[in-house]
Amino acid sequence: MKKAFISIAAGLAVIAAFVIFKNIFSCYLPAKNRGIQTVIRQGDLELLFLGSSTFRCNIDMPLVDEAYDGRDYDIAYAGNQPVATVPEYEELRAGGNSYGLMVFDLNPMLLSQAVKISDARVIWDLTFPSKLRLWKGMKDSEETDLSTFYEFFVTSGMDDLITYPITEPFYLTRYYKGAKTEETPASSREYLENESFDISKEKVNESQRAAVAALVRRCREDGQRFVFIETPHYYRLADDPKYRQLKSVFVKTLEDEGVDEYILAEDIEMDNRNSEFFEDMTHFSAAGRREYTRLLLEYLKDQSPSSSID
Amino acid sequence: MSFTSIWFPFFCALSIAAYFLVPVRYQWKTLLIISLVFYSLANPVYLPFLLISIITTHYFMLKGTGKGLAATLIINLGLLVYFRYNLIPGFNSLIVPLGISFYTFMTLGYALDVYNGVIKPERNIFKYALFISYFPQITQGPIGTWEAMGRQLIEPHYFDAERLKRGGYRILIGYFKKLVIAGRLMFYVDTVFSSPGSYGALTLCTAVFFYAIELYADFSGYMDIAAGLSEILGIRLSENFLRPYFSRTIPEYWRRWHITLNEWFRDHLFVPLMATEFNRSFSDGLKKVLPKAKTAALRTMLPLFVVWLTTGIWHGAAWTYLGWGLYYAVIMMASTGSAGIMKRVRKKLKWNAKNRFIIIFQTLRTFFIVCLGYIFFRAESIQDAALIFKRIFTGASLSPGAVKQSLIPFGNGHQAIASALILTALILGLFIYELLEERQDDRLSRHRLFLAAAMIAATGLLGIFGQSNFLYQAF
Amino acid sequence: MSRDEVRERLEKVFREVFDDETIVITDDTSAEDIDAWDSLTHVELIVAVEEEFEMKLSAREIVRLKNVGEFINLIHEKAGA
Repeated sequence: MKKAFISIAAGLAVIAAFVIFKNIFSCYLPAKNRGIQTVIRQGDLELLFLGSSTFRCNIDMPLVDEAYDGRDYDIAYAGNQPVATVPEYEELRAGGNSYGLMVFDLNPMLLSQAVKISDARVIWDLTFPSKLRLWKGMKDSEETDLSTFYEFFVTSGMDDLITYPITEPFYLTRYYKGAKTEETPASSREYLENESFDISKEKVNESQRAAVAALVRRCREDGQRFVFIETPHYYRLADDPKYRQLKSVFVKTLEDEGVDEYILAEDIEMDNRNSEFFEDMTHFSAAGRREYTRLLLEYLKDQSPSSSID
Repeated sequence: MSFTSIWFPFFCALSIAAYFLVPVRYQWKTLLIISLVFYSLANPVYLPFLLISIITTHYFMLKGTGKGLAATLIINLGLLVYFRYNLIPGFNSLIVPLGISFYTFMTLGYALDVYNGVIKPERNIFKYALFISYFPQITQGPIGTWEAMGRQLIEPHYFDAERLKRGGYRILIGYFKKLVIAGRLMFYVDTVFSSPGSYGALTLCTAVFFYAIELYADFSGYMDIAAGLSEILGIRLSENFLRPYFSRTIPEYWRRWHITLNEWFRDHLFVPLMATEFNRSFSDGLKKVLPKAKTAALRTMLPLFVVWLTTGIWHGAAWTYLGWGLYYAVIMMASTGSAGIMKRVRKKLKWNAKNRFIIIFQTLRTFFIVCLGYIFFRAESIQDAALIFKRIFTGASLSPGAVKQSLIPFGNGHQAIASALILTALILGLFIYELLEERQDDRLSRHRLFLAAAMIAATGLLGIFGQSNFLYQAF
Repeated sequence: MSRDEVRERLEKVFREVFDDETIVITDDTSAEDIDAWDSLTHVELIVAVEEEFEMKLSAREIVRLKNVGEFINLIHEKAGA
């Protein structure tokens, strides 16, 4: 009987060790080409993107480097929701650096999402106090239960932690300054015309909407310059009535906070019917990524007299 | 209440404590009460139907007559068909009582055994009720027989630390299989099978393979939990799985997969059908067409066909299940029919059944046949099944694009690589564990403590408890 | 025909059906004791027994058989009748 107890205790001890390590120390595991902690180590920056997978796939960082002299970075987490963006922003602030311009994701579909973490890397990159703040934000939205709690603090990101020695070298080859470097080919027109997309939830999740407003207010309090951008989606999605409805709610939320610093897809002259630019409804091919980034940088240069582009 | 609900361990602990603390003469009655409470916790609405089955069957089979059997069959099959198979439009049931397929078969098995004089009817309705409602097996089986269970359930049992350890270890294995392996595979399989048209051959093959593992891990894991729990109480459940994927032939596979269901069909459908006059005439007729065929083989053809179609339908009212049943009907009939020829062929080829390569070949071939069958079993429609078959056999590709696509259904974007690695390690681990068990390698029992600790750690860190809230959606 | 004769003849049947000259059956032998005893060989046994002892076995009779001993009893009874 005694041996059985030792065995059980050993198993539980292993669990505890991994959980403690993951929650408290994982943010210090090196991830040299992406993530919040890496950005903090970069010091002051001129341009910082903070968004979802659209930012990961749709921004070409080498081009941004040329325009901003390498003082730039892209923090992109898949499915990064407004509710999560607030603690991420606060974590960056706590790093003590200054950022000339922060670029946030105007991604209307995130407004209707249930509160959750799509990319376990978010949890990984935050320090423990920030994790707690994120958890509190999730809990306040009342969409969490015991299994969410367990997943948040125990199982999420565990796969990556355990396979870190193997997967990290792989990830190092895939990203540059947080954005994808892969020469993604465009999908065929046939695929893009027929790919189904689902905006089944059109009802705005108040927690997400409120988080957008909260982010804006925090930036104002800190005197942080920012702009929200909507990367162009393939026309089938962009013209969808439900999508447009969510987009108008997002825009109204910004305007209610007195924000006019936003760049919609239509402000950039990029042809969203050109299948060469798209891998799917929301993500660009490598060609699309470069085209959009070029146009965006030009737009930013024209708009902002205080930018450091010559 | 499901075995994986958070309250289940508490329920079990309380039940075990109650079972061993009450005076021995109340023990089995306590177990009956516990079982009925357990069943009601799932949904109180189910309880009346279970009770109807128990009460009517017990009454009608008291005399063991043909009329009693007929009444029992009508009531129980009637209820089963009503709830599980929506045959009459407008009279479809919205609920399906928990475990009805399983406890109905236990009931019918009891009735048929009484009628055939294999067992004597139990006079005490409460003892009979315990047999049917015994909570570790009511949800998903095993389909116990009165012969195996009847006496055990009412005999006194005393707490035994050894049994606690053995049962506990088995429960741990069950949770590991169910929460870690089946849990992780489920999302992938569900994603692909819900829209197979979106995926290429490699992804589809992976999904089918994963399903084979998922189904086994889930079902046998559940059996492990039930058996382990029952062991602690001192009651042995019939085994339902004996490492079936190590089978070398399909007939052998069916002696090792869902054993109690197949034994039920063998005893209550196959053998009776085989001995009927109708089957005799039918096989005599076949003999005229195929004079060289073995009489015994011909006698099995009709019963095999009927049994396999019925087995298919037992799983559900869908064309895919019927297709699956038909698939195995053909295979079993062919296997049985060719047994004589194959024996001669093997003698001529000097086939050494103990040769390692031959064993591996046969095992892989059997597993492959089973996986093809799973396409029918899991597909959501016959059209989907046909599409999957077509793609797998015409579109196989190992290109980087295909490999990348096969990672998508993991659902966590670029972290799929980590998940894929972990999953590979887990499946490999399970395989090695079972291989050692198959070879009766004693290293498994010597390192039990280590394995227990490892499984606890793995279940805690890698288990899927409920729907994942953290899955990638392409935004 | 005595019970022993039945047992001897039945043993011969078993050996033929399972293709194993070393099989020895006792009253307690059951399906668990012989490796290849499955639905098919079960049927083969029934058919071989029916042919060897020139009798027909009904479903009820077959279903009741738990082991060889009962098998022998059944055959002995029917042959005697």
